[in-house]
Amino acid sequence: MKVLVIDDEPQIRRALRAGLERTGYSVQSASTGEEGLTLASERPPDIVILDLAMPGTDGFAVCEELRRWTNIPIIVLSVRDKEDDKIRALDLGADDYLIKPFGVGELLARMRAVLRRASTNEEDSGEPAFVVDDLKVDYINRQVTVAGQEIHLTPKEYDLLKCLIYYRNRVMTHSQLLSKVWGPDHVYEAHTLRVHMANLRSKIEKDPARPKHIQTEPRIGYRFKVDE
Amino acid sequence: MQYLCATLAVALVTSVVLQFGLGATVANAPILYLLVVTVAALFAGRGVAIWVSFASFLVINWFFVTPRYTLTVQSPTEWITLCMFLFTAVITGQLVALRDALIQSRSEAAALADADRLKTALLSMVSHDFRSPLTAIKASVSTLLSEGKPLDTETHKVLCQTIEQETDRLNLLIGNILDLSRLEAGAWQPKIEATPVSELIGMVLDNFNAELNKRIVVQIDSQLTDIAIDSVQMVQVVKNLVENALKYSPSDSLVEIVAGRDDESTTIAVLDRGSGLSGEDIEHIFERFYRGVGLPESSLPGLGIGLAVCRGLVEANGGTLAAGNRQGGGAVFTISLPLR
Repeated sequence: MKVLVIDDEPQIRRALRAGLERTGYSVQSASTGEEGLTLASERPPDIVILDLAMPGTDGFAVCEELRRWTNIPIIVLSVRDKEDDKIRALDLGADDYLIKPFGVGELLARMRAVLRRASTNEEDSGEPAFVVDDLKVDYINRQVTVAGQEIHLTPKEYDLLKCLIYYRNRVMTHSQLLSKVWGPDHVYEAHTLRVHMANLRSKIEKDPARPKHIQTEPRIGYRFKVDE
Repeated sequence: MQYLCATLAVALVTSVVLQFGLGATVANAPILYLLVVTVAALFAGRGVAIWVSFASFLVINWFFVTPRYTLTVQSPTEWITLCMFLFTAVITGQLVALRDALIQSRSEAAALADADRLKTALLSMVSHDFRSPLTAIKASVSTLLSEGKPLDTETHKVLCQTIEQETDRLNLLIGNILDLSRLEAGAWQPKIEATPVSELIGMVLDNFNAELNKRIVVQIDSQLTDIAIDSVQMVQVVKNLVENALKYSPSDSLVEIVAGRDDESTTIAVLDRGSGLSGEDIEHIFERFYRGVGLPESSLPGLGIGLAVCRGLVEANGGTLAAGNRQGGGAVFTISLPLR
């Protein structure tokens, strides 16, 4: 697996290289946006780690440019409190984000999540069922059970759960979820989404106030967390 | 408009003086006109005061100084008196009008002095509170790098964990300072959205590891649905309150988050079984840089700006944050948000 790291800070490039190579990835790095774009086109990586705040060609521009010709997974590095930056990056086509400072473990987990999505082309993963802890989703019979008890989900709740499971461990923005489950015309109905998520949470989480799986990313969207 | 009123005032005073024959001595009339100048300065400002001063001068000259009904002045002493009047009138008018400007610059000076004091306090706290984790990091890492007897794996691990924990602590401190300065600058506008209370509390709990979560008990009134808040800000607030509760209460005691509502508001309360708050604490606890009475400086880290930030954020979201003691011992912090 080839990773392209685009970050203007040499210490960060060094630390990431060490952490990623140790896990078995081969690492290319670029110190500017332009260099990153050149490397990406000459030697296409399997995934890109991109810092948003770089002088010159910033992360947003790189993201936008990359998405013109490739679907390579992109994870952006941002800072706390800049929700608008993250939303913008996700809207420009980034797959996920990490808040600096982050631990390498977190980075690796997010990389695994976005790479898995990239390797299967359709939304239907072809698996007959999904199981995590007490939750089992039987795709063939459209049945959801929690600790053996069948629970009733509305059609939209079921579709939403299926979508979350498919994109597990990846952040999904409100508009992405709305678009995939309700359709592109419904991307501004955040309140509808919230209500459905709250219902889903109360049905499938053991302790809805302490959701283990359905994580909220404030102002951005949701993440279905699964330990893998 | 103001000039018109001032002119009318002068005319009024003139007719009163003429009517009652008060202008008998040159001394009387000027004092009455001085009164008009003062009033004009108080209510209408410097320009009008000068206008009234000159108008009065002319009027007094015309009506009350011999020869009357002319602008000439017969007696040199009366001429001097008249000029003294004008001089006094102008000066009085200007001083009275400037009174407002003086008051304002005094309060500006006070505000600047205040900001300066805060900056000094902040700098010294930053210096201390940042140096602590940095010292631990430096010590750990230099040990790891040093030559000598090889460290056993346990020690090695502990040193690395220390570096990680202290880095997290620094990150937290930086976050607090950024929040406070954003609040101060009025730059952190809340983005209000309808948020389910359970979602808010879920996000708060996410910030604590499994071990700490065992100490946190949640109770949400089932009637509660959404509250109109900036969820990023409110998560910060509740998280801060819970962190404090965990820190300032025995490690085997529970911290409760209770969400409920009454007729007017939704309340979220954080309760602990620590030693509670003293009267002085309750009074000052939301002030910036206030650290609790009786807490040894070194034992509990933190900049003491957390609660000031919390209150600022709650108020920016339209609510209130209050502190008190609970029955049976311990403190309770209550956030009240108005129902939409």
